[in-house]
Amino acid sequence: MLSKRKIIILAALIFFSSVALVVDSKNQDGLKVYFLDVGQGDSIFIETENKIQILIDGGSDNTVVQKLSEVMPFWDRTIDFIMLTHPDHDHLGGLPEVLKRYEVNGIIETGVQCEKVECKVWRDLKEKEKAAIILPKLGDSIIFNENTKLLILSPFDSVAGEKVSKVNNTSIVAKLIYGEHSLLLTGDIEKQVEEKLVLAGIDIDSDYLKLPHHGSKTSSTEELLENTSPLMAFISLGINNSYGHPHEEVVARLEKRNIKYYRTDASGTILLNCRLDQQCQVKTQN
Amino acid sequence: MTKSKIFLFLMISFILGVASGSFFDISEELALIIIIICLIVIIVFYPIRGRGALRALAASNGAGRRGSRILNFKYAFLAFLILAFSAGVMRFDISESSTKVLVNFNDNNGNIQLLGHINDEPQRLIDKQRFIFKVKEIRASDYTIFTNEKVLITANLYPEFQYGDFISMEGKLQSPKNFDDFNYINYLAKDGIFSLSYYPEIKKITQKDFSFAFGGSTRGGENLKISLFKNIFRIKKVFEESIEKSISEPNAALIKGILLGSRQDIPQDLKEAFNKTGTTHILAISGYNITIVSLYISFLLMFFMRRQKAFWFTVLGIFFFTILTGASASVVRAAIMGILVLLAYREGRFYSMTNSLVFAGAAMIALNPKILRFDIGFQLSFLATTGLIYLVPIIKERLERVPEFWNFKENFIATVSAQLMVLPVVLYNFGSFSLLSLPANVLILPAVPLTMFFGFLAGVFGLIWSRLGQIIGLIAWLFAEYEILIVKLFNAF
Repeated sequence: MLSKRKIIILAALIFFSSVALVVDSKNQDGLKVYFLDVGQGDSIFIETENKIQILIDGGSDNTVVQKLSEVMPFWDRTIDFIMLTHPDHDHLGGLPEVLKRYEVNGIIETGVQCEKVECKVWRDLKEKEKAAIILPKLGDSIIFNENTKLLILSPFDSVAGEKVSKVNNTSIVAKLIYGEHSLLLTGDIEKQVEEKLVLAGIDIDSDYLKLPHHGSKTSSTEELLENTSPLMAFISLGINNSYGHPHEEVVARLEKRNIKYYRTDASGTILLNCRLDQQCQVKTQN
Repeated sequence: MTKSKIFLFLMISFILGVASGSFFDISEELALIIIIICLIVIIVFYPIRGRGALRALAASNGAGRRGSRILNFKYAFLAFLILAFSAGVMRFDISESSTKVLVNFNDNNGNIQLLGHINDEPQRLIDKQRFIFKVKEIRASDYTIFTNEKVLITANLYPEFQYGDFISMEGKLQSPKNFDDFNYINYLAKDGIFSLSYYPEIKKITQKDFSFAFGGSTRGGENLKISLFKNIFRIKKVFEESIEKSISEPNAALIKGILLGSRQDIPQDLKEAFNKTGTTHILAISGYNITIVSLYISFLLMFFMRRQKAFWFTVLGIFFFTILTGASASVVRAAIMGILVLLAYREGRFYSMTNSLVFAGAAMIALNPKILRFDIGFQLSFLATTGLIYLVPIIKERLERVPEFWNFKENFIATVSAQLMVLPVVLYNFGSFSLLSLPANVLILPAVPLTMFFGFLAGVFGLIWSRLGQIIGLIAWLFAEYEILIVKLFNAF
């Protein structure tokens, strides 16, 4: 018969060796992009090949906390960067709780003026967290390692502290590049910004596209789709949402161009997993 | 008949009175008339001299008529029983007829302005917060009504509200409605809530904004209570946030449930799995939960002091634990039940607990008669305690030869005892009883104290140094993960 002491030691050994095994096996994963199923709203979690984690937006409520724990290792209580594309409820709502629970090193946002209660809570928590605040604009880039970088394409000029009537159009647009793969992240931009990007001749051509504004009618114009020419698109939205997203016209535009698309309301959390010199793979929860 | 027997029968009679009052519509006047008649009969025909009615009643037993007493013991006892019964009926009736002004404003089209304070710890759900609002003033354009009623408010996640905040709300009131299989109206009624408000406009105010001096002498007691509990909930919140920082979800939510009874963060599907496997009780502060906490404390204390002394310090520990969890009525009831179980185990004389147990039950019912019929938590807690006190020794005797291994036998006996007693209530309320609950409980229970212990340490050390909290949190995570796995496994059957 084993003594209690031996059992405890044995259990501890098994526990720590399995932890080591899990840590070790994760080195060959390449780039992982999760489109989290947070209901109506955006939330994207990225883990680069060198294990830098970036959370882009947090959905409208605290669902994001549960979803993060499904895609992050259980011992990991740190997120390197949070990027807030723009301070609307369906992008900001879950972030205060994330900031409370995780250690965050850097916050990437536009700094556009916002006097809503949520923004005030967000401001107070940012001060407490003492994370570095990064206010990027067109031309800036964040380099994660030799293969991975994030190019900022919009806003064109800093909107920090500015009062803006259409906050959607201040959204950070960024292109994530990993080797030969690329993903265009668009926040909630609408027609005006899409046209501006195209007219300015900015290189938005990407393999993958996060559809702007949950597939609303006033976004994802023909020009955007033409110039991005994605292989695949991802739509973040809630089941039976009251906005009627995605709009049937937008779906028709995608189908016309034979762009395969995934929706978080139907597929749950979607994983886009890319390795260097290989095709990216998509895995869905449902 | 002994003194304690008489006492016991009187209490049972009182409880039966409350039960009858809640099931049948017996008028307050009728109960009052019966009470008066009984009192007259007793005073006139059975005058009691000396010290204490019970003693006199007991002394007269068997001694036949004595002195000026005209009634014999049997009839006098009957009169006392009827008196206790009617008192029970009346207690229930009185609880029904407290002032209700607010219901008149339910389901009206117009907005209404209410002033008061937040009367419990707001529940932070995944996409909203919910709290009880104690209304002190109802304001309309041309009049102000002073009252003391409750409204259940549902609000957005932000701004975060705290217990004791003075607020003014403007919006509509609604009457609660029952769900398909859940009597929501009764559930709220037992806490004196008859109105709901969804997403009203809420402003934080100060005491000065009330028309009527809130700080006046009449409100002194209430203000003291508010400031005391404000601090208690602040400590609780800091502790909870430390656990949330140290441990990943849903395990952190589970640990908070096991440790503090706060269940709101547990994902719906997991909650249902716990329900289906009959293991939800580990997530509530129940008599069982309190017993575990106290066993820990007494175990620790026995290193330093003698058994008797340790017992009293344990009771003190339960007291602080109750405060830390917010000392809601249900937790206080669980604490009392837990202390009773401890007492029974300490004395080793399980059968002598009857009076204490029934007295505790009767006292709780006297304070809030609605719990007897409408509070499933109270019914389960009381019955489980009864099982732990009476059935455990019986089953233990039968299983004397079965060897003990890692507390499995102890847990098996406790589970069977508690489950047998709560079976009727579970069947009545949920319509089904899972046979899987027995193996599920036996497998889960050994991990519960360990989860609590490491969860508590993670919370405390997380406050001092977050890395240390995270490391200890890993151990707590592991035990919580084991519990989740077991529940999911049995739920899949």
